[in-house]
Amino acid sequence: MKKKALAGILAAAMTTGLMVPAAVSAADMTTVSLWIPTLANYTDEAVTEVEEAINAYMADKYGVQVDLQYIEIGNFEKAVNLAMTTDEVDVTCYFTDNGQLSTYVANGQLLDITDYFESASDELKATFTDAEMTASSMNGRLYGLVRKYQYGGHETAVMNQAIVEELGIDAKSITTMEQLEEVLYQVHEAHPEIYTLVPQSAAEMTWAWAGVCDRGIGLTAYAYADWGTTELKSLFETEGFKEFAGYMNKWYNDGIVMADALSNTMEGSSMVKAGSAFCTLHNGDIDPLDKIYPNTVESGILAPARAESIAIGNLQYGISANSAHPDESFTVLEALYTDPEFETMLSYGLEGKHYVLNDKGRAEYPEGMTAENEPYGGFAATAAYPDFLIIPVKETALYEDAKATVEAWDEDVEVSPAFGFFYDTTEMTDFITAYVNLEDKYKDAVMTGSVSLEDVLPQIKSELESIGFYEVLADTQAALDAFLAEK
Amino acid sequence: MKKQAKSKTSWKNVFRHWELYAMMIPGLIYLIVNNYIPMAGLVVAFKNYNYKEGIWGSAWCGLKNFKFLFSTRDAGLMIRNTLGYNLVFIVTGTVFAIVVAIVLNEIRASLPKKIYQVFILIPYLISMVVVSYIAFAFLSTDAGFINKTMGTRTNWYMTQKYWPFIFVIINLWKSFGYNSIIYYATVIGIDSSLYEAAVVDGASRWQRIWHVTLPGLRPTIITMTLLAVGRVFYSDFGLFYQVPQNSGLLYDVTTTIDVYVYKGLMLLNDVGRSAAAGFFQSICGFILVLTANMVVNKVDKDNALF
Repeated sequence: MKKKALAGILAAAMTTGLMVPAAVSAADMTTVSLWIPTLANYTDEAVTEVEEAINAYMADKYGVQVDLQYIEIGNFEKAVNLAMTTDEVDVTCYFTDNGQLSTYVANGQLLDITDYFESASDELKATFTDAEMTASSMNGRLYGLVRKYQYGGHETAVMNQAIVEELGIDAKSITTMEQLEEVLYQVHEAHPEIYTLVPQSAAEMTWAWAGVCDRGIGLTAYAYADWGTTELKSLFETEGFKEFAGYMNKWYNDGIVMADALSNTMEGSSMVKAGSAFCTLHNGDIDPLDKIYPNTVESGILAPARAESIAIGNLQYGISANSAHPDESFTVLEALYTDPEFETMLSYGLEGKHYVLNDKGRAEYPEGMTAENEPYGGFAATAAYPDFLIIPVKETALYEDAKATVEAWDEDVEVSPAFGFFYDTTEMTDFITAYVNLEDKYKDAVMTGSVSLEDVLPQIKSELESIGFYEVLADTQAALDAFLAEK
Repeated sequence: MKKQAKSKTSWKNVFRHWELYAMMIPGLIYLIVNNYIPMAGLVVAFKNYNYKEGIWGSAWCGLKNFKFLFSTRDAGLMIRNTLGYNLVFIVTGTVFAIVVAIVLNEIRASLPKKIYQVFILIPYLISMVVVSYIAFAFLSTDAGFINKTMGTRTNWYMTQKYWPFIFVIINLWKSFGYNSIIYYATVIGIDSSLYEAAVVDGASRWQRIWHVTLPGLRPTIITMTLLAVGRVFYSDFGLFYQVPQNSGLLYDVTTTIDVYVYKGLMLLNDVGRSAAAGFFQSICGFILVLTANMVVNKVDKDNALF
């Protein structure tokens, strides 16, 4: 009988356990979740501390609470996509450099914030340029707010400082691929035990498209053009790509490029910092890379600053369409761009603990703290936040006035002539999937130099033909020409 | 009248053993909530899924999501790879696991037998991500065990011809321990008097295996094979995506249905298509199991599943 009673109690306990709903927050205020990708390390303890400080501030000023959700950048997109199927996400960062904005809008993932924005403060409205508004809008409706950042970037190379000094290399004088080639061969001869050139990230040889070609035209995944032109081509047929692939294949065959580049899983800068590699190609902008990556030296500029259509507003913040608190979410979204105190806490952490302001009013690490041991991301991570123009300038920055510097950069950068052109691919999903698979098949292999473009180009063209690529490209070209004629 | 009496007896039975039925309730709730209620979500396969509208609010789109799998140039390739690898895995996996089970049964010393069992089971418990790094340690061009040992510089991750064999080896290494333990459990359950009778009749060890062990294993082999046949349209995503490091040059031999759908989902966030692919895989598996069972039923009725 005792056993029966015990069995009954256990069954009741288990059933009750299944039925009890998840704990409900006792707080009266609405909590808005804020999803941010990490560009550096964050400890749980530091995030909790910063979140508590932010919430004490937000409670008084806005009557809302914020739940910080930091996700490793490599998994961020997948994690957010899954979370957006529920009301788990309120305000989130999202990337648009592969034309994702049109996908998010077509799938109904992002909230249309046009009406919210129209009734927002003048300060918020004045924050964004026309180009930035275009970059976060689809069909005349606004779906997000772009990160305040300079457009695009130039191509540069990050090199190991010890070897540069040992061999007496004048890094800043390297401004062409021929000059870089000379240095790479010199280092390869002197230090055959390390990788001479490694990909910028995993199997991607470079993110600096300034040195290759214009891409993402019409916010599509398949339309490319040589810089300054509007004749659409496949990636593999642009002159810039052919030239880049030529260098890489020669370097790969000569042992300059890491032999396992295609299966690499590390960041190039990490290998250069650690001394296991000499050099990696890199995208650069107004922040000097050698200040971000210790033990490195940045070369001169290999390709001038250029911005593809998708580079303008390539990181944005918006509200999930499934958010249960859209009003409060917009309050937080607006504060991200208009409240320096909130944005500074979010970006730099707690003053005195994660950063200090020096006598020039610039932010730097507290004594004894470095980029390596700062527990709340450090200054390298600020690029992931919405607006670095309203927070104190970093001590390492080469400029005094971030806003003026960014505006000057944006003024000078060569913007894609196709900027503002949008080609609707909503009904072309089968083609897009087939194309992206095809591009993935060859792009990294050719860009790392592992295979010769000349060898595989006939095969690539035949495969492009078989998926109807050239017909689609011709239609896109016609639409682009019409857009340019109207423009 | 008879029916009523039977019903009363059943309820009496439930009442008498109420504690057993009570303990079943949590499991039953879990099963219904986790396995049956989500089945309603299969409608997503026939909908133009909109995140905001949700499952029920999204518009119907007929069979549009299914076209995705067949309209692509890669349709033949991914179906060929999925079915081809699975068939090879079933044959090699079954044969190898049976051999190992029989060998284990022939080992008399208890401690070595347990040690072997543990060692052969370990690979089954290792995550495919870890396996991908182990494979890389063998196959790296610069520092891989194979290239270092043989003094070569083969770039394995760029050469398609090796990968069908690499997949078979890795799959075999990872799965044979688990399968062989299932077969071993059957082998040790075979009536020992059959072996004794065979010895009395002068049967050699090989003859005992052939005439006693293998016939005794037949029901398990059929059950395991039928279960495996039900999954021939599925592939181990980790094996085909992680282990070859998603190397583009290997796509022709690594693209299976699951890999293709994953890429499409990650690119377009299209839940409808992945639901359609899953639905297609389940239906095909279901039909295959029914067909295979029907064949078994005709050949050997006692060993059919149903």
